[in-house]
Amino acid sequence: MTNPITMTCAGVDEVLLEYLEETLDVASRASVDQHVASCVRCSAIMRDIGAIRSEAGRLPDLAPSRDLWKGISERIAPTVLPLSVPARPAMPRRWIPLAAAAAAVLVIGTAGLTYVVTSKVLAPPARVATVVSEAPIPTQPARSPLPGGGSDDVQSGAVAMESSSGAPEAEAPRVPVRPTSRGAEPSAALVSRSAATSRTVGDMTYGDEIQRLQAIITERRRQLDPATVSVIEESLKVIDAAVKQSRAALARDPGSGFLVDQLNSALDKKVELLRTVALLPSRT
Amino acid sequence: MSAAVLMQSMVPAEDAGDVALAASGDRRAFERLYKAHVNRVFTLCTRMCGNRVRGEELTQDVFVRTWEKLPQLRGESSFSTWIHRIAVNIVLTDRKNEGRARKRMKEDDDEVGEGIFAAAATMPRHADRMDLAAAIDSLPPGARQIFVLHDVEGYKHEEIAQLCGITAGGSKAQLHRARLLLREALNR
Amino acid sequence: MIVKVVLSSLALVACVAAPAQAQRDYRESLDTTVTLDRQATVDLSLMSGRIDVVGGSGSQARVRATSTRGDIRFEATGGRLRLTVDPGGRRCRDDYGADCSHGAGDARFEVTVPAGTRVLANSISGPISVRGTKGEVDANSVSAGVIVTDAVRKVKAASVSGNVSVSQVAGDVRATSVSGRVEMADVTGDIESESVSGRITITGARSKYVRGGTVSGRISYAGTFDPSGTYQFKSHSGSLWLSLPANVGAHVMLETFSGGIDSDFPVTLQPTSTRGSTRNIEFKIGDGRSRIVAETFSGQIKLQRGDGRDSRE
Repeated sequence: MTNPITMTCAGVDEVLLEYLEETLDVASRASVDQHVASCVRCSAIMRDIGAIRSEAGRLPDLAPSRDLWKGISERIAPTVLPLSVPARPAMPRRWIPLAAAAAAVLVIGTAGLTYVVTSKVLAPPARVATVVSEAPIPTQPARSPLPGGGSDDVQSGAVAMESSSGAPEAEAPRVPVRPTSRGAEPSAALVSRSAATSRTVGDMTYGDEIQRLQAIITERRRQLDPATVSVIEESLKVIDAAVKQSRAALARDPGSGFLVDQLNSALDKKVELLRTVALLPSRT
Repeated sequence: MSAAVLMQSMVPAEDAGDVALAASGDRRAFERLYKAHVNRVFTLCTRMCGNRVRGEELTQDVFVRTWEKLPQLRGESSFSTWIHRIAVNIVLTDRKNEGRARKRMKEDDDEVGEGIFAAAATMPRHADRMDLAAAIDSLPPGARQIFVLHDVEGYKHEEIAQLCGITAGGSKAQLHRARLLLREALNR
Repeated sequence: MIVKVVLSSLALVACVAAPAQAQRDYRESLDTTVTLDRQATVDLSLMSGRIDVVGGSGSQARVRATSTRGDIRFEATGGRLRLTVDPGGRRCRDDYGADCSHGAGDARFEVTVPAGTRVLANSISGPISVRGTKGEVDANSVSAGVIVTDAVRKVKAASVSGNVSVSQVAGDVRATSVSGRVEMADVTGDIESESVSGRITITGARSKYVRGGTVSGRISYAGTFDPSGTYQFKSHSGSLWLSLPANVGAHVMLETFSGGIDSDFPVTLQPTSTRGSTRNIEFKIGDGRSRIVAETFSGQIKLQRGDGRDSRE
């Protein structure tokens, strides 16, 4: 059906949006085409807008004036003290040397653990393979002793540890869980590693670090506010109780990934708290 | 999606390994992803905000946010598409925050952007007219963002509406306004 | 231009009304205005006293600082403003010439910043308040409280024994306290919260990613559950109280060693409900799209219908 209405320039202006969006009815569209074919003004508008759309889609990429990676890298770095920079730069420098030295020891001694602790603190749950997965939760979750004699990649598996030997402060080794790709099932073979192997690895990492941190804190005790010290001590008691209960439960059910995770969480909290205390500024 | 974006999303085979590594904390892998995508991200941020310095800042924000959220990347989304979407969200959030802070923006989208005409007026009268990129930078912020998303980046109005919290009709109207403003500026 | 000011004399930059015993109360003060770049960083730290930051309009920062002991140190460039107190400054002498430099003294910082400014604030025993800055915030105290409200992009707020309160944030939040309370309200980004014994309360959250962990504190959560979201809560002995809207669609995984599970939602126990020594319950509500994980060694897990008003303190 032919639209008998003659399109004017004003009419084209009114329907131009719909015309360009191709939502105009057929008859009106035909009227616009007819008008544009014989109108210098309106044909110029159509031509110009067409050119703008075409050129816009071909605009070249821009490049930053400088390499932005450094700034990005600094912001995504884990919150571990650099070896020579004070933890809290706003604080007077004399507060820092002891804490910085402590931090340097921490970092040198436990690069992997430190990375893992901070990444566990900072990372979203996908880094904890056990709880964020599109796959159904496996019967044996992805928590497993370190593959014996295998990779020195400290991120390759979680470790279950039992202090049935009675070693007092042999804290459970905690080799952090490498985040698996989404939906990946844990390797069943990793679940069956011996606790003895794990304990040895654990003693070399977690146990030493906690002892070192506790030594730093003992040395710094006088520098800290007594009320804060009291809070820290009470909190450590709470955590130690959790560690003890988790260990006791794990002794009865060594295959429980849940209990391994609970124990790991408690030990993570302990390390995190001790590190926080080690880096606190002095009150005087 | 425009051809440019489609091409980008066909690249992911090269990214896949680095994406997995970066998601597990490998910063060198993430740096490789940065190098592969920084220009696209910078281009998007700069064109949408109309300022290169701010574009650089926003680009850094995009990569930092991408790093934080990388473990949440679902397998079916290409990294390119995903980081692109993060960039759009960050620029739009940046503008919303700026808008709330100023309470009433000088370049309010209800007013004609004087900036674009001022920019055109200051261009030297060469045989070459003001180029399109400069004209886009001088658009009012709302119109600029929608023009960039639609005509430059290839988003559909429905997608733009969802991203910007407006209606598809509003997106079309802004786009139309942007094109007319650009035409006027380019013909001065 | 870099402005560096170290005030180590009694000279006042701006007049401050002084009580009769001013010589002992306010040894240093600063009152100045500087222009900052867009999204500059303001870095404030003191030992004891108080830090108050508010967001304003325009591009200038107003800085008012007083210190009873110690030198106020102030540096400002276009992109960064830094304000600290050096407690090793001048010794304090009272009106009789006696040494009164016991302790660090109190400082007070009141700073108004342009919207969008990134704020870093650190104190040992001074409360910190950052309100309406509409930028990123990183605020830490050892023994005092931290309050952050109306910020964007990223907020970190922490205290060892003080309470932490974060609200109205359009961005990601990480809020922690060892023994103090952690309260978060109206956050629309990712949420992470940790404590040892402090209670964690999250209300009005509209987040796709929430992670809460405590040893003996209680975690209460009330917010939306996005279909693509992940919500994880973990404790050793603390309770986990989750308020779920009636129309929620979630895949729920609950696990405990010796704690209890109480659910307003119907749960059909599966054959795998007991794994060794732990009890595990996994079930679906509605379309099952959100993922909710709650794990406790001996605490109580409670899933209640509603918007969380009942669980709010």
